[in-house]
Amino acid sequence: MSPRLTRRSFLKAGALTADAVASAGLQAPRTAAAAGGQELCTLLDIRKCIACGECVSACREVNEQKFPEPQGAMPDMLPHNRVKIADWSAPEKREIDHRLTPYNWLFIQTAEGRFKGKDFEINIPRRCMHCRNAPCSKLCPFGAAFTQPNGIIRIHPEVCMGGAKCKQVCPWHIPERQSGVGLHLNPLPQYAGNGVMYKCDRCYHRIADGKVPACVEVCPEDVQQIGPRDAIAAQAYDLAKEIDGYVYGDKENGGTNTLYVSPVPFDVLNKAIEKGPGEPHLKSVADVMAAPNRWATALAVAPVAGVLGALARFKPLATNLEAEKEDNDETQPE
Amino acid sequence: MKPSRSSRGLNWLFAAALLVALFTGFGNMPLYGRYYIADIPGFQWSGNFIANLKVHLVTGALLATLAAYSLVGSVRRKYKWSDFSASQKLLRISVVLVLVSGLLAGLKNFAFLTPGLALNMTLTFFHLGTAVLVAVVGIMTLVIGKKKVAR
Repeated sequence: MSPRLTRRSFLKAGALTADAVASAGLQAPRTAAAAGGQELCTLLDIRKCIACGECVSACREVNEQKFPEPQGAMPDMLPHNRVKIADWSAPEKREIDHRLTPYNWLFIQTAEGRFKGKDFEINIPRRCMHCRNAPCSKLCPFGAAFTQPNGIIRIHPEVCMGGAKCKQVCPWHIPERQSGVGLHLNPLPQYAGNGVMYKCDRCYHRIADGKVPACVEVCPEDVQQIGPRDAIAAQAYDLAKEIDGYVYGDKENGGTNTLYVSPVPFDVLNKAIEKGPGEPHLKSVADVMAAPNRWATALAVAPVAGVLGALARFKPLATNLEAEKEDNDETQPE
Repeated sequence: MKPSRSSRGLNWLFAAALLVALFTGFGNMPLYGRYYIADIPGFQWSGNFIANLKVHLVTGALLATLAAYSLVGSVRRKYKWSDFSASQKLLRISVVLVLVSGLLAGLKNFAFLTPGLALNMTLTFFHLGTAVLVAVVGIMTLVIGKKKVAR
């Protein structure tokens, strides 16, 4: 038996104990805050990550019941040259853990390079950032993606049509599609939709039960912390100050609830990691929702402009109409 | 009463904005890329969801301005509800509904509002439903014709 499996087995066996500790000890206030609907945030001190993969395995085990199970053949979707089938359900594809897939909601990127004259190797657990104003949640055309009061961004598998708009508007293109499942198979499987989109849901079911997400719980190096947003953000900046490091995720896309702290700048890390489908970047990201929300504000005040314009334009006319009415009244025989 | 030239101009502006809003509204669903609309020269922007949304909101703001202008104008000119034909009444009701639901759908995009799944879906489908109603009533009005305001 490999040492890796032994440790994993040990950690699995220890999970129940960890649950008990979490619910009785240090993490109790944090999970209580989560149950109370307070905005939750995670801090990842990526200096500590050793890429052991325990978080990846735990995520898969805990969320296995949520994974898609296509029944039968993939639908024949039109037009063929535009609608690509995304099928990750074959056993060998389900096992992929080096990128995001519908069956792998967390993976570890490795950045190797040189900074300030020193070599570095930093491992970075990657998953949904759970943005504070998530474009995926706000812009889903069917309302399938939504934000919980505690800041968790979820995609409801029974509502999602798999159009992948969430993936397009996400600055990191996080959600991954599995074809051949979901609601779209019922109305018009050939002409609209293409499966269901999947991503990290921050173990919302465990948080609702007063537990912490599986990836947080099993990490042997305590890479991740989870707690109320303000406290975690303060902790992240304190840590960054302490190590003369950098924070990623606080300003990106207008703010996220995943904060990475690193001794190496994130633009340096971004150059060092592999990027591509299912492998998100670490670039700085502008707020996707800023411009649409400026126009939404304009939409909200637009009627006021219309009212003022009409008051200015129709006042003389109304006066004329009243004068005309008075004239008519005076000429009416009694 | 024959509408003035400026009123006719505003009516055409309203109709044009409504068409753009309907086009961009349906473009918020992932259809234009799939069905080659975004391949048409001059329509590439319609395949970009954020660009599409911005145009949708701009035309929505224009429609809201014109609708408020028209509503207050009708009050100032002392029009009565009974002065309007059935199709005009239906069109006005559906436009008010689509604008109000659109405003709510736009406001839910702010970070401080986090509607849950049920409210999110209700807002989304209510706006979609009212948009379909506007399109149907608009087409009906064009096909059947409409009476002028009675006075």
